[in-house]
Amino acid sequence: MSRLLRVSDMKVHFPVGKKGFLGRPANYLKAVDGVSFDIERGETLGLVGESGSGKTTLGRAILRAIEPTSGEIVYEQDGNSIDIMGLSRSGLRDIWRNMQMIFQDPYASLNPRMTVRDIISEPLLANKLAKGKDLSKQVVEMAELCGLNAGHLSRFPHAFSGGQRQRIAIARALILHPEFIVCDEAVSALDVSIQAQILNLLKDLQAKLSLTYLFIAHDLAAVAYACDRVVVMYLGQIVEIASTEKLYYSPRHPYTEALMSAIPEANPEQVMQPVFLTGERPSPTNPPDGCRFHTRCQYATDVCRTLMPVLGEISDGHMVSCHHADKLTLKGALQHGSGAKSA
Amino acid sequence: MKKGVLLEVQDLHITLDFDGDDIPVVQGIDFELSAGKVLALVGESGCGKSITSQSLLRLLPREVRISSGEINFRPTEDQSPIDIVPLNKDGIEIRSIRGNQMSMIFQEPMSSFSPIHKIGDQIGEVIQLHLKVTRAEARTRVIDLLDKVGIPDPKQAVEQYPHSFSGGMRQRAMIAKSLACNPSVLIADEPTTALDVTIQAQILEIMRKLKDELGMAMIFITHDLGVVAQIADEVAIMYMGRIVEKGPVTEIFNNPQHPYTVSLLSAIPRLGDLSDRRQLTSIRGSVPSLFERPTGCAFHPRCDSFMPGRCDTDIPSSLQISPIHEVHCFLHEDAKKEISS
Repeated sequence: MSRLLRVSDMKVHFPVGKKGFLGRPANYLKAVDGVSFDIERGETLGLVGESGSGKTTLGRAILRAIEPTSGEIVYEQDGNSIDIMGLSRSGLRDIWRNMQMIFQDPYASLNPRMTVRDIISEPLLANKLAKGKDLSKQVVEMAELCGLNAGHLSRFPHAFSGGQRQRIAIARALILHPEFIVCDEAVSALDVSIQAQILNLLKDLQAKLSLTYLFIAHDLAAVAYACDRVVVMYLGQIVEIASTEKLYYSPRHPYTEALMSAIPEANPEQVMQPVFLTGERPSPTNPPDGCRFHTRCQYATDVCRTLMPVLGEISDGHMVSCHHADKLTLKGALQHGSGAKSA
Repeated sequence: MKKGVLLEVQDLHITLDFDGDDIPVVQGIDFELSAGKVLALVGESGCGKSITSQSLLRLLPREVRISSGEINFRPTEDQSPIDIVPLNKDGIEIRSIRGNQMSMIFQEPMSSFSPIHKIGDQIGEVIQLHLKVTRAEARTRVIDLLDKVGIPDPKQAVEQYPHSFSGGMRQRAMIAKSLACNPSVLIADEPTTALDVTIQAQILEIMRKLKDELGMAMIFITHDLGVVAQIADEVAIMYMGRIVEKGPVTEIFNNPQHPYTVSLLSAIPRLGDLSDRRQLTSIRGSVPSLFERPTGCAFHPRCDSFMPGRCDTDIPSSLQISPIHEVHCFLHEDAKKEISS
């Protein structure tokens, strides 16, 4: 696999509070604070963390839909490395053909006054890439690929259920044949049976169109199913990156342990034994010194309170940001027992 | 009522008044809840699980009403049951039950608290309304309650306003409020859906303790089968206003009999399948709207075992496939007939 995207030391800080001397903001909300990782071509990379951990901001900042404060984003296209941070507005528009986004709420992300045909064809028209018969053919093809039929195209979004709306949003995102899709909680608002349809659809499309996904979600079971590798964020920083299997069953960061052990497994014979976090999540405007997690970490020592750990590789492809990673034995998610009979 | 049962719902029908037409929302459901047990009502959006829970406390919106059925409730086994259905929904009888002997936790804790009153006063109000206590006694009890649900520094917390609480803290305060008068039945409508997984685990732990230590009976409404597996004793699976399958949690998860239950269980991503990464079995189509209710068994258009001329014309009745396991499906009815003939 080759690299598709590299993010280095990205920061997204939002000014908060009253402006003080010389019009400087009183403080900054550090939504993303020094994040570096790679996305490989063709993979699905999960991005998890509690609400407020900065995962949505990071997803948008990669596309520069939110302007990062600093950092580097390098996109590999046909052997050329493109520096996304250095692009002008028109350069960005070109690169956005390759990078698209699917949002959480399919009720809010579609214009209620446009027909499905108009919604799906808009990106093609806006980029002047097709018209007339060719446009219509492309739209029908993409709609069918996403599980809609030609009869749906002349209807308006209100006539569709949540699952079908999400199919429309996916067709719109894919009509320009992008390589990279940011799925921001794309299945979170859907019912169980529909969520399975959309997860399956995303998987099929990935295989057919060789897509790369950044899959942002808080549902850890869905992430486990959908992703090859997973990034865990806490208070704007990455605490761990590993293959899904390693991250879920042998986490190396205490925060990942708390997340994984809290997954309610759909098996009444396996009672979860969560590792509880003490205290409340600190505010991202005023993060703690040292390791950001130390205020809630049961393994924290003096060094954690003063020195910020760096994300380092602990075994092949497994990165963790913890001073004690090599000494701790942590609990992962429940392994599937023999008691469960799958239906 | 049977021994141990505190709440018994019989043939409950709920309708929605839509421009003078009565649209059925809940169509004849039955269940029982015993002291110290958790019953999970499970289903996708639109199955009627929230409406059912609201009807128990007569909290239905104006245009929705109970058209027939019985809701028999007794706070303890020694008392004689009262039927909640004929009560005036604003009357003194239901008000003395609501928040007192039976109380409710909602999904969105932010909208369940007034933003302009202190947390302590809002919980204290419930206590003073139902119990003969002084303000100071109520306050002491509030501090105890907040402590019980794991709010740090409860003495200070009573003086705070809801906005200064995080989502998880608010949900805990909400639980404290619902526990204020030691209810015998607690109804929790998606209490953990809006919360992060780590907070969810804490809330589930608190609720499990309440059940074990106070012997409280709970109705837990959720669509999350993981949460169901972890907290419920009994499970009722609902689809379009009917219970399609009901039984103890292990029975439902290990031996599901209704095609809908079977598909739901295979549609959820499970961690154990990490290595094989099979396709999830999805259910085709989606839940029809209330106005387009299919004839016969409402699940038939999405069912793989659909039998034309049977499932689309008749409504399957309740079938006891074992003393503890009930299913509403013709597949099993026919199987049973064959055996008996």
